[in-house]
Amino acid sequence: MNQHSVINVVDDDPAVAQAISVVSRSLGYRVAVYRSAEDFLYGHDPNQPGCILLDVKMPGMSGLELQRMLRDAGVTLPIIMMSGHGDIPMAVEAMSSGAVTFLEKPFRMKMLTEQIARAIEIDNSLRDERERTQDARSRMDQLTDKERVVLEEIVHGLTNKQIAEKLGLSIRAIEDRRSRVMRKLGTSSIIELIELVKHVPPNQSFSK
Amino acid sequence: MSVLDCLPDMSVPTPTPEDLLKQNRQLRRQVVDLTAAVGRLKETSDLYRIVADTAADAILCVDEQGEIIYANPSSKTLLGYSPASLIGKSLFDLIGEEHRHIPRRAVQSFLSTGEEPDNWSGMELNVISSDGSLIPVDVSFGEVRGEDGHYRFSGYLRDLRPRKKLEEQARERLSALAHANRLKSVGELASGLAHELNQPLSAICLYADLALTQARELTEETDPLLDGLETIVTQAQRAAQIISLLRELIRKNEPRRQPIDLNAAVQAVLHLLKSELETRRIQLTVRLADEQPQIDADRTQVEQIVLNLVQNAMDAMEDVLPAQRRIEIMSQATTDMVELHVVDSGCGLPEGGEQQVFENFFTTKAQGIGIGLGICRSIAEVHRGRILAENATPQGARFILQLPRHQDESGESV
Repeated sequence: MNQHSVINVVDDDPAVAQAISVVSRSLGYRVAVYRSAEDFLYGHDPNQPGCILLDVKMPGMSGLELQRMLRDAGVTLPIIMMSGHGDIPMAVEAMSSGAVTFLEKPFRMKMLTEQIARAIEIDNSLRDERERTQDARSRMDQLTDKERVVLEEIVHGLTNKQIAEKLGLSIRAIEDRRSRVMRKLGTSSIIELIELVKHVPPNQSFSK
Repeated sequence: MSVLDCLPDMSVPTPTPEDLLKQNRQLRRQVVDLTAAVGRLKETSDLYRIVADTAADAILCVDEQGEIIYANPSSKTLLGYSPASLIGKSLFDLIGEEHRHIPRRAVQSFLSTGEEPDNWSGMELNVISSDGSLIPVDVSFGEVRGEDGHYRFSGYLRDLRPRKKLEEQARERLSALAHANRLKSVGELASGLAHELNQPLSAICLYADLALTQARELTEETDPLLDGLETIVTQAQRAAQIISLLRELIRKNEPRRQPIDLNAAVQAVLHLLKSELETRRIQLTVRLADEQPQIDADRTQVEQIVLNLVQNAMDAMEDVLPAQRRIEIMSQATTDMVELHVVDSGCGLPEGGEQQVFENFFTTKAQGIGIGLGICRSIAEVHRGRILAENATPQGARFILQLPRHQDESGESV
């Protein structure tokens, strides 16, 4: 997974950016260096997995401003904030705005690699989750309205017989629909079904 | 011939009774007139006596030799001697030794030329009081010529201690502000330095760590290369620690905030700069808003901003004709901010200088180091306010300071 992840280094100091990228490459990551927050905004690919190593103090847009802008735009790339001095209010603001961590310059390679690994892990799990959600949604979209009604009742814990009574249909018809739902959603048990509905609440799908 | 024969005839013709009556009437009238004149004279003299007796300044009258012939009651307050004991003493003996020649020469010059010397009505001297201490006074002389043809001199001695004290206080305040400015300058420098130094230290740490990691794979655990690389890292971190200690030290100068009146801070600073504004012949217009809301701020730091802004405005007008040197200071409140405008008629901002002027080490002055406005900005930002610069019309620059209004317990602007 390392090969796919890109470490985005945003720092106006070329020596620091270079050092971080050399270290990151030595660990097998791909690296993209940006000299300013603006360069990053215009230059980066949001679909590229990875993380951002972001300097707080830069000419032009500051690291904190870029962080806020990305958060507002729905970009979930984990951010490792770096600062030349551990300004506590600044660190608190960065962390509460969703930064993974706050590295005080100068930092050791060990700390950097640990934080990068953690950020990449967070990014991967966020992307997996998003992928599962998208996958579940596209499967959910294949269901007919009748199948969706049955799905909803199953998730609410009703038995086939109860659903049949509630909808005024035969148990046989409900069993048919139920197996079609299971097949279309690719699930083999109720537990899997409930798990999947958690990612895509049916009402989202119904309200098309 | 006897000498007596040469004398004119002194005999008077015997007056007639009518003549005698007439002369008698004339004499009586003269007596009445003289009595009235004497009465008037006494009235006038009493009046002058009251003036001298009740004057807050010490008044001494002396003869041409400087011998005291009159001392008013305030002489005792100033000098510690009773007026009676001063009579007969020499005025010059009461003057501190280093100044004694000044009034002596002035009196001599007057007596020889008949003209008042330049310092006649304003000499700053020290007088010796009864306890031996030296008191700074302002002395002005007056003179009157007596019937005998000799002059008498009056000397007014005004105690300069209260004025000196006020001057001293103003000087101290100004120097305290200058000191605060210096501290802040050092703080700005150190903070900038800390940031700048941490960058190369970061690179050093990372490269050394990387080299260390790779060297461990290539060489023996006992290789001195590893020690050397390890030392690079620890020393780089030591340098970083020194920087962070320095920052800690500077942080101790953090502002103490309390609700204060911006207008009062402005007036305090203008009071300090009054004489400098006059010396530089700058026309000052002050329009401060009535009922200005308070701001949460450190009084000294806000005064520092105002001082720097006004000094900056004064410096901007070095090359402007005195008649066109104007500074306008104005305050106003917006919904959540209190604003101060400082407008000068000077050289204006350089092209694109609206932001640059606040950057440290940016200056257009031959003598400046370019840190005054940088201090203004960092103080404004610490107070969650801001400072802006723009060109004024028809010439000069306008600086706008905005500081948040005081918030009460519930967080409401008041």
